[in-house]
Order: sequence, then C-alpha cells, then structure tokens
Amino acid sequence: MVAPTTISSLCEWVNSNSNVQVSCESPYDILEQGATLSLENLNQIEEWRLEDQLIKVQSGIKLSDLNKKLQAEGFEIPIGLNEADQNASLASFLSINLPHWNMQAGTWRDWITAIRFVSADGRLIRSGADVVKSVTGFDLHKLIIGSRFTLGIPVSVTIVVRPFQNKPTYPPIHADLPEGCQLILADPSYLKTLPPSTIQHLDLESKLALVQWTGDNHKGSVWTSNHGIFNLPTFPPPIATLMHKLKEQFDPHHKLNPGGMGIF
Amino acid sequence: MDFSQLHHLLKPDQILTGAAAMRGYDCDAYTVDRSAPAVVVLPESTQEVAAVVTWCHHNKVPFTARGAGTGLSGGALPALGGVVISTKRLTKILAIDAENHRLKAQTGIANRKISDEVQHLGLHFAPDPSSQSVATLGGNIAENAGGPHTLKYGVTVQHILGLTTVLPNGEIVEFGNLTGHEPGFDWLGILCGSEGTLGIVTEAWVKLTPLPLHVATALISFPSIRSATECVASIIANGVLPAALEMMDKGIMDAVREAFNLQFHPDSLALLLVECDGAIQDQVEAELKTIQQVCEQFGCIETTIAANENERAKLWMARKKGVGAMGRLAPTIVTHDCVIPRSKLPEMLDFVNAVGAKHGLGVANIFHAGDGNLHPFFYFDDREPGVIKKVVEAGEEIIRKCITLGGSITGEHGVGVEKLDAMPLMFTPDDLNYQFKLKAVFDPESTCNPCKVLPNQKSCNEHRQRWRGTAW
Repeated sequence: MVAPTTISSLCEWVNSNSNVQVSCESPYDILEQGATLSLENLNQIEEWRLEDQLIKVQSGIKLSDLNKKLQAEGFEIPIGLNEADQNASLASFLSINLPHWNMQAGTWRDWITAIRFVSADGRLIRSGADVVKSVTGFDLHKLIIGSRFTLGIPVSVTIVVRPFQNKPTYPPIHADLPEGCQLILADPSYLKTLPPSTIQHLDLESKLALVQWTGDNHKGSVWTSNHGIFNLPTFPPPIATLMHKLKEQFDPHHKLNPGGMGIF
Repeated sequence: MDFSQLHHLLKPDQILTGAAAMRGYDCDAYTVDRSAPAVVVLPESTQEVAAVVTWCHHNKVPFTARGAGTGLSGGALPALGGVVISTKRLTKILAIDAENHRLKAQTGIANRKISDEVQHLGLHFAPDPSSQSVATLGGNIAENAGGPHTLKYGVTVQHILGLTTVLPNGEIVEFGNLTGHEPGFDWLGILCGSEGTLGIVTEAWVKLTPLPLHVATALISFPSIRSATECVASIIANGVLPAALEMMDKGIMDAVREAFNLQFHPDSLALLLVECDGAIQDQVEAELKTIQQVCEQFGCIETTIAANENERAKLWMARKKGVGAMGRLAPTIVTHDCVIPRSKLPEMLDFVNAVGAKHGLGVANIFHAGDGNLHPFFYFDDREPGVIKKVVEAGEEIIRKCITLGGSITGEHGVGVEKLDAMPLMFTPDDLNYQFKLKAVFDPESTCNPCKVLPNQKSCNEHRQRWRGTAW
C-alpha cells in the first residue's frame, strides 16, 4: 500500500495504476482488504480563515486533529461526531457522507464548499469555491461526497465551520441503529428529551422515516449502517442507470475502488 | 419544425405563439441578451411537461424551463429558440406534513406563497431571495437561491428533500427521499443549482423550518463603507452567527430616501442590517449586544433596534425595497453577483466604486455582507450609445477581481449566459471537462436549456453573436 505525501505524487500514482482501492483509517470502511492507497500522509491544514469561518484541509487529516485546532479558536465542525469517530479521517466520512443523529446539522454535503479530487486518469479536478456560497458551475463535489471513492479521490476539502457551542447534554441515541429506533418507539416520552431537530424527520404515524433509517439494517443492506455489501436493487432503475452512466464518464476503466458502490 | 404537433399534447390555451408572447419570453430579468422562442407552453402537470419534453427529444428541439423570469443571468433565455416550458400553471401545493416539517408543491409556486401557507403552523420555507414574492420554487432550485437569511439557514439545496424531475429524454424520475439523507450519489446536490440544464424539476418536497421564537433586529449606521465592511469580517471572526447581515451603501440610501421618504443619519455612508434569532431570548439579545460592541469598535454612528414587529418591518424596508427604488436613479439597472471572502470586502468595495467611476456608470451596493455575496448595481440610461458595452466591460472587471481575491463568479444568480466567458477564469480545462461529462450523462443531445453554464458548447457561439446583437 502506498501513502503519498503530496497531492502531485498521488496524481502520478493514480494515473499509473489500474487498481486504486483507498484505505482511510475508518471504522466504517469495508474496503480495507486489498487496499492499495492510504491518504494518511495527506493530513495538512492548507488554509484557515477565521474571519470567513472556512478551513481548507487535506482529506487524510484525522477529525480529532482538525477539531482540536478549531476548538482552540472557538470553532467546530458543524457535524457532530461520536467519540469513536474522532480517530477516523475526514476522507472516510466524506466517502460515505456519514450523517449524524442530529439531523439539523445536515450532512457533510451541506458544509463542504469545494473539493479538489484526483480523477481516474490522475488529474487534479476542482469543484466549488473557497467561499461560503457559490453557484458557479455544476457542484461535482456534491457527487464526490458519498460516492465511496468510485468517481474520484477527494484530496483537498474546504469546510464551513461554526462557532463552538456548549451543546446541551442529550441522551446518546443512534437513529440509524435498530436499538435506537426501538427505544424511540417504545417510549414516546423519550422524544421530549431530544432536540427538535432530531425528531423532525421521524414520521411517528407511518414510521416512514424510521423505516428508511432502519429497515435497510434489518434487511442487511448497508446504506444506513455503512457496513456490509451494497445492493443494486436499493435504487430505482432510472437512478441506477444514471449512476452507471456517470461511472462510465468519470471512470470508464473502473479502476477507482472497484466494487465500491456495489453496482459497478 | 412543425410546432403545431404540440396541439396534440396540450390544450390550445396552453400554447402561446404570437409575436407579443415571443417578445415577453425572449429574456429574463437579465435584459442585455435576448433570443425569442418559437413557442411557449404552459403545462399543468408533470405528465404534460414530460409529454412536451419527449416531443422535443424526438424532434431534437431545444427547450428551456422558465419560472417567473426573475433570474439575473439569462438562465431562462431560450438561447437557441425552440420551446419555452413555463411553470406558470404548476402552482399547486400537493401535501403539507406539518408534523414532519415538510411540504410538497409544484415548482411554479412562488417562494413566498409556501411560507404564507404554513405560517399558522409556526413554520416557514427558509430560503428567502429578495424576489420571493414572485420568484418560483423551481427557479430557486435551478439557481440554488439564497437570500438575506442564508447566512444562518443555508441555501435552497439544504431545504430540499426530494425532486420530481423530467429528464431531457422525457423520463420522469424521483430523486431524494424524505429523511434528508439520500444514499448513493447526491443527485439533489447536483440538480440544485444546475440552472435547468439537466432536466426540469416539476415537483419538490421541501423542508419547513420552525419560525424563530425570538428575533432581534438592528440597523446600524457607519461613517464610511470601509468601516462597515471591516466590521462585517470582525463580527464573524468574533464567533457570532447572525441570521442576517446585510449591507447598503449611500446609493441605496439615496434611492430609498427618494422613493419612500426613509431617513438616515446625515453622516451615514453605509448601513448594516443585522438580525439575530433563536429559541432563547437571552441568547438572542446577547448575540446582538456582542455585534453592537464590535460595531462600536469600528466607529458606528447610530444604532436603531426594533422594539416590535412593525419596527422590524420598517428597518427591513430599505433592504427589501432598495432594488425597486433604484428605478428612481436611472431608467436601467444591471445587477451583478459574485462572492468573495468576507475579509476582502473593504478592498472589493473600493474596487467596485472605482470601476463605476472609470466607466462613467452610477454604482450602488446592496448585498449579503455576511456571506461576502456582493450585488453591485450599475444604473444608467440604456438609450445612451455604447453604454451597454461599458456595463458589460465593468462587470467583467468585477468578476476578474472576485476571482483574484479567491472568490466565485456567482453566489446565487447563476452563470446563465451572462458569465459563460468567466467560467474558464475560474476553472481549468480539466475542471470544465468533468462538468461536461456530467452534462453528457443527463443531456447528451444538448437540448435541455442549451448554451448555459458551460462555455463553448456546440453551436452556441454563432448564436451568441445574435443574442448580443439585439442589445448592442
């Protein structure tokens, strides 16, 4: 496994290799076996603009290191993190767009303004802008987040940060796990202890949201639990068709994380 | 092309072909470029949109979706003629799910109408572009619109759960899901802000946001633009995140003073409109207090705090009606839209005013200072020979400066046709190549709102001279 120390050397390596399988030091990463590339040495803070509430970092940075730096200045990443997640790299979270139980915080897609990613042919591609708001061109960086390195490898990421808040202490709950959802359903009064942002997406009457959060777990799919094997039938055929077309455009030789989305 | 075939798909009153209609649809609120469609259709359902798009696809006819026409970059301009698909009759609210804070509507509905419909439930649709009384949900999605409260609440994409979309081949596809976390590729993120070039969104599930329990609003006067702009960066650096942080300069103050008899401190050359909100009153007031303290450090000369909702509305009047009041200054205004790091606001504002002076154009600024999203307005008389050319050149200089300062060429108005030439300034050929690859996935025939967003599209350049020729 290689661990490039510069983005340019990573580009060269990707261009000259046919099997680019990324390891990213994550408890959620199911592709560690057979990994050929580590991003752990791409861990620098490239730019930190306090007055703009933006930070640009390399994607191999550990979230604990990033948060330490931010909190020293009174800021934090808007997405809440579990303690276990702190040792994971930013890239690992981006690859699966891992959400937090506090839905008001949104997902990583809501807080990333720009990504530079390495394409299948080893080019450095930029999408987005290093400002808090931009609608210039197509937001390819949104596609990169959650694509499990199958469309490109994010190497430099611009994140919106927020003033650090001493959050109220809520009971730990993980709505993406069956136990967490059963806890909610078994005791509706439990909801009162949660921030409104958490419950706004739970449809208590039809259990629709809960089903979407947990049902796949019961079926053994990984879309919500981030473990296991992905299954093509999860997607309606038109969506799967678009995914295939996009993969053909971005990675026609299927060298980036082969098998990574389960449908390529 | 025999457009009469569309009569097999729609009722007669859903098809417009007269010269007056063509003139009415040959541009949006960006009036520099114009190109008339061959026909305008007014579908009333997703199925009717799909039928028209399928017909266009089979006949290789370009088509362009259009909402209220308030876009400011020519995004709804039918660049190659063809069919304009107006969403004017797609205005129904299809479902309100108050318990789960979500609503489904057709995309021709006006942004403001959504919030009006759910206000009694203590909810609202957070994106609030200044044109929200007429701007449509579909237009907001196409441009990923923001507004004064973007600073805290985010842009449109952060408030979208699902989209019913007619792809350029006429296929109807549902994107997203109601949990707000779409597994797989982020199609919502791609469709929002794609300027109607990847398909036509006909229905949307949107998130509804609780109305804030407590709001504190202040209008703060400064003796110079520089002191106000320097203050903005310092407010943010102090770790405060107001709901809105808007700025207006003397040009705007003059316009609203004349139009609405609003009065400001006589020494004021810049205004900051600040709004803080939240669930805890003490916290909201503490935030505003911190902002006031920062403003005092930068020499503010007057602070007016709204004591009630009426006073709040009055403070917002200059911001909400500032653009309309510009008509008092000159017959024509052109609005620009770019984003820079907040810390660069002082330098950028100096530059904008210098560019206006250089080209002999009037300049006023009213913008989302907290986001660093500038809206310089050039005001002029378009009957003056050569003035449009000066306006375009001045706009290009501003765009180049934004890029030099590390910014973006558009924050919420889109690239449209206006900023096609600026795309290569911001993106490399490799970057753009990947954007073309995405376009090819959705629209390999390039019939869906052609000649927008991406520069140098096939068969667009020759037509472009024609659009510009109408104005120059």
